[in-house]
Amino acid sequence: MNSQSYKKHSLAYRMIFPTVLTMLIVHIIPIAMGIYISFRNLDKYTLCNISKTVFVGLRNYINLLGSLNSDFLSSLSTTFRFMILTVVISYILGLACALIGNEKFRGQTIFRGVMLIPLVIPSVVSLTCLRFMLQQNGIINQILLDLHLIKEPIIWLVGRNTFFVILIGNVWIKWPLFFSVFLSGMQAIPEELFEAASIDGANYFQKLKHITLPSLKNVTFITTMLIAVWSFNDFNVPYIMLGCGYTAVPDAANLISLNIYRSAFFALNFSSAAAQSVLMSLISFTLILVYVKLITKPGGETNA
Amino acid sequence: MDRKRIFTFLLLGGIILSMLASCKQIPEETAEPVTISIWELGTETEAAKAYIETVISQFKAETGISVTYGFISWGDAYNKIIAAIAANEGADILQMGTTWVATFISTDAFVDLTDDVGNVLPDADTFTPGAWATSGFGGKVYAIPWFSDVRGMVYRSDLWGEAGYPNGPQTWEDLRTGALKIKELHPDIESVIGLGGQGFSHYVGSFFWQNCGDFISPDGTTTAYNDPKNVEATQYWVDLIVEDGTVSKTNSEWTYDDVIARFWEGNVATMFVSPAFINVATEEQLAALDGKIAVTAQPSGTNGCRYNFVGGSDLMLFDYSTHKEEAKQFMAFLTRPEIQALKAELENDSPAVKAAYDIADMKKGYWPGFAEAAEHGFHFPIHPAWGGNVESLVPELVTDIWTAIVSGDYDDTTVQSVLDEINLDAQERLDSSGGKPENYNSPWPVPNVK
Repeated sequence: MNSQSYKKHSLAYRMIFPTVLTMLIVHIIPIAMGIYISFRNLDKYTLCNISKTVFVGLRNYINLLGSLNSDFLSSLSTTFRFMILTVVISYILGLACALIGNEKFRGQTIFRGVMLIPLVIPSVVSLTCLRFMLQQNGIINQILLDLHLIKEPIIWLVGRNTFFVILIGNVWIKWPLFFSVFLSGMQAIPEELFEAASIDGANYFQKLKHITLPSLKNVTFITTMLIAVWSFNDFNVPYIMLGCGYTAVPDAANLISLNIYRSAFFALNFSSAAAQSVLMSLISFTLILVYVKLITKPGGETNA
Repeated sequence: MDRKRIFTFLLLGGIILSMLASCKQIPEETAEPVTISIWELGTETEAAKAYIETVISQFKAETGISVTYGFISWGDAYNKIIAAIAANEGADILQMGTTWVATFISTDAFVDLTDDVGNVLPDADTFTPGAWATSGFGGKVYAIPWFSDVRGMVYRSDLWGEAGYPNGPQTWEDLRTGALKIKELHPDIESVIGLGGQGFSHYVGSFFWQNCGDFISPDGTTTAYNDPKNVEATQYWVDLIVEDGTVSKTNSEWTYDDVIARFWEGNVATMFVSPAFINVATEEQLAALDGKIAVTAQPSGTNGCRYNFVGGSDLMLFDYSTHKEEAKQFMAFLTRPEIQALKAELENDSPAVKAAYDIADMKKGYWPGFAEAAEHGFHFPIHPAWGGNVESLVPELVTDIWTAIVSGDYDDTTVQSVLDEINLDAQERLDSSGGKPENYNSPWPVPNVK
């Protein structure tokens, strides 16, 4: 960067400086600190004075990955299933509702508004309400009993069903993003394409396959990646829905984020928590790279 | 007068004037008023606020020392304390959960109060045995008991009277037989005994001790979750769920507060709770159950041990405090019997000081029953590996058992296998926490049934 270039762009540099500084303080430095801690032994004995920690090499990472039965690998497996199912179910729901919302009918505006309710209500409120609804004597069991679909109340919030509980909660708060993005995308598709397809004798599903979905591929790519990453990193959903603080979350719903939380704030093993965070970040980053690679054709176009 | 003399006079005059100006009157020496701070854990209720403000104003009137306070919810407390330790910044005095004391002693962030005991701070005999045991380990004192969270057995005396136990169940056999009778006579009661499956579940410890078991060996080197006494104790309360049905499966979703709420609704007949259970009752509920509630110590197990959980909170002094002596004065003030009785009156917190129970108001209501429970108090291990670490396996144990029950996977081997697995984890955590602390000696409960 020579001085002429700097002078030419000095206003721009000055304008982005606060952002860069904030990112440094809020993101870069904590990340670097986390990586540093992951190679040391920061726990309750050394918390008071971080200079008392010693370099332990890869010990924290080996402890996490050394056994196939480790809590970390188990929670990793649960988190992957959680992420994949969230994306698939949210995609299907979002697309279906966007297709309906894109049709002209009486009450279309109200329909679109109602579909966006989960997006506008704070997730803490939604998830807490959902938790109450899923209690043994909650409204969901009551409805299922009244419809004679079950003979006795289902215990949702304890045991294996907890995986489905957090999946329902996560889909609830994330699927409207697919809906709003797809609806916007569909609005931008030229009407002439559908008219031409109709003239050629294409039916609804053929138009969907050859016009609508290809037109939405770019927004699908971005939204899928966002929801996948957010789900992979999610902490709020299991924490709010399955109890906070001391309540142990069942293995079925033990996501990596919760594992990290308990390692840091219950076991007071900050180094282990930091190592888990580093691994989690590396896995997220790898997944994004693989995804981009898979859906990008040579030349930069997407296959999504 | 020539210029030289004029200049000399002016110079001298200036010097004299400046000397006179600097001779100002030395003011009386005034000490800067001292202000110390305390962090309380829990909700800032009207009662809690009334108590602390009353106490602070009395203390200031007596000593001239001001005190500021802040409340931290229990959910945030652990993290906030960790942050304060890492930052060397926070209040002077901290309310500390008794089960966390040993863990936070290990951080070297708190003042050793051993030499102050019997001087500025009260001596050991001032406190109830269960409360004093939480003040530290290895002969060192780092925490002064503030109040006890004694879990007595609160029961519906009318229903237990009908079942043939007018003074409540005294043994495990009584508890089981009487609960079945109540279930038969009152099938509408949702859960005869309340044992919440969410949250911490202190009753796990109570049942261990009632069978003369404990969590960690007396020498502090080995965890004992799967000791035969503890397996038997756990199987006992699990049988209340799976065999007798006197603990309903809805308990799997209940927290400690849910159990109390359902007791007041008439849906639970027996629970193991602290005196603060009164705080959540409405006027109508108090009226409806007036004369129908009694409190006693929890029943004894099969080996002659009759114990119940005693927790509560202690006061610890942060090492970074710049007003340590003033803080110790306030800590001593808070342990005066009349101040302890005031906290009991306003917040229904059991006193940690013996003499407080002799004060007139403490002989009324449910206090005598809780005083009896306090006599049978036992506590979680005061071991550095315990608080937050080995301790957090207690809710995991409860979750694993409830998971097996509600998922339909429960069988005769479940309790043993869960405790075996939990114990392996516990031993690893104990070992990675540095193993045996110096001078640790914590005997297991001994038979105390007369």
